[in-house]
Amino acid sequence: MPHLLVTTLGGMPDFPPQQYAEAKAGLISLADEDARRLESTRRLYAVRQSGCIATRSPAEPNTVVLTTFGVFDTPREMPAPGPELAALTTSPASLLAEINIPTEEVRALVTNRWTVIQAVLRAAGSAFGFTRLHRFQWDAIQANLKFVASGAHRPVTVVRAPTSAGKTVVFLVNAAVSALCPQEPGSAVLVFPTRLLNEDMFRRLTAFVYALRTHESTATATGGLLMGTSDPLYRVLLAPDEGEPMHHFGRCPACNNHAPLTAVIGTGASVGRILPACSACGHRVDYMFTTFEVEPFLPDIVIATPDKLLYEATVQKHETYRIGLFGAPVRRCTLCGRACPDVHLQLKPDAMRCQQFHRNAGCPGTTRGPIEVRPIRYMGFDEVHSLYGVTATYLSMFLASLQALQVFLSQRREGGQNGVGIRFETATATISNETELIEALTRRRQSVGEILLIPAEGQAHDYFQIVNPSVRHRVLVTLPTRTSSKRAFIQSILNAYEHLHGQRADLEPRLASMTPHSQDWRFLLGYLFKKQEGADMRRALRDMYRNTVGDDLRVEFLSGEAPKDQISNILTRALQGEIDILLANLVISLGVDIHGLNHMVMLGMTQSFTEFVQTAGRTGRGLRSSGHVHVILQPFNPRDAYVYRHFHAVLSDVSGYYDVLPVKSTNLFCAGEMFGNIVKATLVGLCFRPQRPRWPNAIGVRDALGGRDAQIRGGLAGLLCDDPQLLADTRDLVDTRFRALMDQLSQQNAFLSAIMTAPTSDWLIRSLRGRPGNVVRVTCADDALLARLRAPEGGQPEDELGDDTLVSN
Amino acid sequence: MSRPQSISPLQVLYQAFPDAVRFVHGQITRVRTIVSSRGDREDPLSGLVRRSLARRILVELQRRYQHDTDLAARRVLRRNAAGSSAAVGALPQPEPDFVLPDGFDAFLENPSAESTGGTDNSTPSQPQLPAEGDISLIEVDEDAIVRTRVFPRTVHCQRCGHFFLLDPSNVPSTLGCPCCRQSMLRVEPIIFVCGRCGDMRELVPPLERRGDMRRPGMAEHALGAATVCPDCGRGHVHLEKHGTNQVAQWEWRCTARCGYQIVLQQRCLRCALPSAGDAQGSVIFMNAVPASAPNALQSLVHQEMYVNNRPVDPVTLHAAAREAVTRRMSDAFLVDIADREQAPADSLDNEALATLRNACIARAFLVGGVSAVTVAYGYKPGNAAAHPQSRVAPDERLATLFGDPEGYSRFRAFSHSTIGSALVLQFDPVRVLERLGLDSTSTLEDVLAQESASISSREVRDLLTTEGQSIRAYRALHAVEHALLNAAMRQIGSETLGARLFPATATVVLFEKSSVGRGGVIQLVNGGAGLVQLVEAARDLTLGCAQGCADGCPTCAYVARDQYCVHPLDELGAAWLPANILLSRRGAAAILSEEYTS
Repeated sequence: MPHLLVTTLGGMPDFPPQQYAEAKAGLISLADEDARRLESTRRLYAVRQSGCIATRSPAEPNTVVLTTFGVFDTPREMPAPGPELAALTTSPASLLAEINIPTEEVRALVTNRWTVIQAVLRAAGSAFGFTRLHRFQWDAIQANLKFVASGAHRPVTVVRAPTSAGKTVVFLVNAAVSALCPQEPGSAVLVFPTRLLNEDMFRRLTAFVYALRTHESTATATGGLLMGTSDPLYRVLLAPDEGEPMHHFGRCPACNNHAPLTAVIGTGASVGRILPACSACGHRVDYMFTTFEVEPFLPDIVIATPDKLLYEATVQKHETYRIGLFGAPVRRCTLCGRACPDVHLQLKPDAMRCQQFHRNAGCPGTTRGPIEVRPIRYMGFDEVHSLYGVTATYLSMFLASLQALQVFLSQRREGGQNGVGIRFETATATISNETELIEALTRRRQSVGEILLIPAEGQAHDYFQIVNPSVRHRVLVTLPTRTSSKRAFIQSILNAYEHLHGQRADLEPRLASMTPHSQDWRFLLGYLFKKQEGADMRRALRDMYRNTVGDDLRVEFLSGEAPKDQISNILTRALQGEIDILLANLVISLGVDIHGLNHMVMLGMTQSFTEFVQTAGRTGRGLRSSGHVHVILQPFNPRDAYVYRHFHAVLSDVSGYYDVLPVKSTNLFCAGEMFGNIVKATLVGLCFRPQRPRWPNAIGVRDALGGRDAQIRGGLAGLLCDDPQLLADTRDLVDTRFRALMDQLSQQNAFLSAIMTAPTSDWLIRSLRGRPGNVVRVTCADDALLARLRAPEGGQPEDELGDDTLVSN
Repeated sequence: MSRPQSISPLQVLYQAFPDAVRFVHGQITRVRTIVSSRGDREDPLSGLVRRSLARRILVELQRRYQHDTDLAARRVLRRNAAGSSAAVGALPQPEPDFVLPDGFDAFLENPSAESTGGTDNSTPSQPQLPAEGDISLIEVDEDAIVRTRVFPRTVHCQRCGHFFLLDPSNVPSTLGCPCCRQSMLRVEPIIFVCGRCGDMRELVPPLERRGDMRRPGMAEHALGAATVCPDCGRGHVHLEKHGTNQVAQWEWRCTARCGYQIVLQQRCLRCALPSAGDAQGSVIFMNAVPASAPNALQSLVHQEMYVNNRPVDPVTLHAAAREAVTRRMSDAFLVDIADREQAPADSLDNEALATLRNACIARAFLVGGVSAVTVAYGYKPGNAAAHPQSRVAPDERLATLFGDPEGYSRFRAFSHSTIGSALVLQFDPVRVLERLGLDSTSTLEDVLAQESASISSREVRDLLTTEGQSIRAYRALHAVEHALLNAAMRQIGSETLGARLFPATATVVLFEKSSVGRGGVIQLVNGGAGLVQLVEAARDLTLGCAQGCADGCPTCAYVARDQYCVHPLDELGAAWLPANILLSRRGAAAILSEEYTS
């Protein structure tokens, strides 16, 4: 590679720190913001780079290398060790000894619920293969123990750890403890923003719940997945015929057999269910529930998308079927365990047979179990930085409403031991205004100590230590000249493929002399920002490879808008080597754990540095091999040009370039849009109060309000508005719309949901992104030719992953 | 199971306009037309849009007229020269740079059926400003449908080189190669595109020789079956790729090996200018590109804002705001610091007014009913169409204007409109110049005119590294616009706002990109308190950078998404500028804060 070596004799070039560890140590040592800014200035401008990248040799500080490309190594930051699992699970005393100043409440909880806590920790250890917790994990777990013990629901914990450090363990352990340990168990919900991530987490939850059930005290633990089912392909996936594979459950948790679990028809207590079963060991995963089964069975830990939660709580037409998930008292069928809300039984006293309520289950049992209240006690949010803009505003209103709904339905207060308040936990938001975002979403305030950062501000270096000379991932930056960035991207990918798998496959033999894991860079991923580039690149790579080599290359493009049944399927095929090159966009960057992804080519710098960190962070997971990320810059893009000019300064302080995202809990437009959802949930909650339930129709609603309209309207305004400056405007809005709704209800004398969910009604929004915008249909007149091109040999059409469409969910 | 294909209206205007190439179900297609069940727009605003478009269409027609006039004059000269040569038996004069082959004129004089513009012999007529009725305007919304056809239809067998065009009306039962029967036919996505007129042609083997040239192949000759070799008539024509992606090295070859062996090269006959007299010939080598190359064709898009059925300018906006205040409309807001006769908004105290004054703000007001209209009315060849041996300057590129397929109107345009409120911030131009340390004897308009000349004459590559005093006023105002937009979006927690800068009058308009009721600029201003908060936040964003940058970086001055940055290209005389270029945070700080010293 062309380069110039410049060695200074008798002096040292005045270079600011360029390597990650050196730069980070320097910045950490500067407590004062002004000093930090001064240092940043020096780092940016001490070396003006134009046309080349100047790197001071780490080995010989008096030597500078001038190159046309840039190489930057981000070292691994290893989490500081926490307590041994064995020490934590020996006895209550041994666990309490590891807790920082345990309160009496904590002592009581640990002592009284010891077997459950012990089982949860051991299950996490066996499911995720660790024997010692990291310090940050233990801090988050013990914080949660304290909150469960005291019944405190206001504190929000923010688990701040780099990608792949082990945040999932925290979420799952805390979810299990929060759901299973209180005197009256509840449920825990883990919210992930994308379907891909939810499916991935569901597989991990399956392994965790399997491990929980091997312990006597948690032998009845259950899990579930709550996702939108509007996509017909996904509905088909959820209802397979007997013997068909059920990919979404992953491998068998009992024997780890790689073959997908297959569908079997449930009998006995599983009557009416389709269960995944292992063909090797016969294990049946009857303790995990898919979307249609979550409400009937009310599992302990649920993975959910925010949109589906919104739908179930505020949009769903038949509210009676859903309210058990939100704290309404239920009774279970003595045979199959399906739950029926007690208010339904009160309103229809002769409907005690299970199949009268769960009509498709065909269960002959009766709903005579004891009263059970299972409110959501804990919600964990990962990839929280993806929830910004109006989505953050809608989510803030919805979460406030959800807590109110739980109070209405259970008639218990939010706080206290058996309170129905929801405690929130989030993972790091890789944005600049993290606290502002979390305050907006949860309506908890840092100023009163309700937001607890783990590790605390300024202590990150005690929790994560740079391991030298390790490399987490290496970023190679090149600036194409005399060719377009796209052509350079294609050439780079094809070249990498040829050296890895083609006739000139020489990379692995060369790597073999340096590492025993020379195959770790085989999986090749091309990252694109624009969706419309995906289909084009997919075609270009196929054509250009065929032109030069004569063979067909298997290239797929994965975006969040791909058919829902295909996303995880494609990813699995790619990892198993059935796809030669995978192209992907943002969907791949949100928390998906892709073991074996170490080789990535990116077309241009991402539009945000948050996205860059998230995407590059997909590589180098696990401790075995480093990731390799090749960024092909786009010379005319100012952002790319900036990175090239300030290469080391930017990459050694990427977090300094994180986005500041718009996040507010209140917006007058969103308040108007969300009003219908909030008022519907509130009125349903009022009507279904367990002491005196009423059907939520014109008469029932009027009766339930009992003349307290003004109080309810005030409460609704509070749910919709968290900003005192805008409260008066919101109050006006609520008054007007509430009156309109009541008038409509009285005039039509119908059920609340019949009015609000009517096709012509616009009372409700169905997504936290708001109402869908206009879309324009694209048709092709040559439909016969199009069909032939999609199925060249006359068979089924090829998949459509490359299609560019806005339709989702 | 096929899912419906759907895209956003703006995607239609920029990427799925007529003749653009689009993926449908993973296959490449070309847009034939866009229809809407609503038919032509007839609302009052559409008349304004048509009038505005007419001027732009005229500019393109005049460019085409110059080309056609030149072509007609050359033809006359060549005919005259041919006549006199024949008369006196003189040999043709050699051309210094480019000599048209003998057979070339035959094609020019007999334009092909596919060649539609500028090749007839009639003298072009001086274009006139189109009348409103000449322009059909279709709103692109959920009632619109984009209709496409498979393009290109060319298929190729990698194994034997068999090549032909699939006939959509007679689709084969499989795509197995009918020649070697051992491989599958694949769509050959390479097409030719002209860098001057944007003509796109599928690959078709050339036909019989005429003089030094061969007659260009027509799609019909290869539709449904391979082209029979025009030389020997025994074999048929294959496409030989020689294992390379370099199209210049690909060849047409006869299967009978009769000597028919031709490199793939195509000259554009649609816009060719023959040599005549002293004028050199000008024939464009069409560039071979994948049909789906995103910048092969560039949509001609015009964006304009309207209020009260008038194009937005600071005067119109101010009048609309005053009217709203006079009529005591709810949420009306106007503060006029420059004009002391105007009572400022009641809610602003002296401290707040001082803050605004310190930020050089002369007026701030809310305007309702602001329409933002984006219209696509044609396309030009983009950079990908440029052949390395046939460079075409941007101002020589000829537009293809959309027409009405049914012939009811001469031109057709496609629009997407949004309506909402806007917050207008007018800065005092004189104080802006003072703060920036620029010649205060000039007007801001003059300074911007000079800067525009500088911008339009420089390469983007140079503009990327612009710093210091260069193009200071535009960079500073542009950074003010970014700071206000960033601060506004954070203040209302939504990305629904857009910004437009009118640099010559130092006016920034923050407008709602979708219907957001009172949750947009009305909440932003919040009776005045929000406005002060906004200006302070924008000022704080410009006063310093957490990363300590010199004059603007991704942390402080850039907008988060490239599409939020829209340059006033007309005012700057530029064809294209990348997002987040030409920013001066320090200039913006100087405008927004009297105390700031760089």
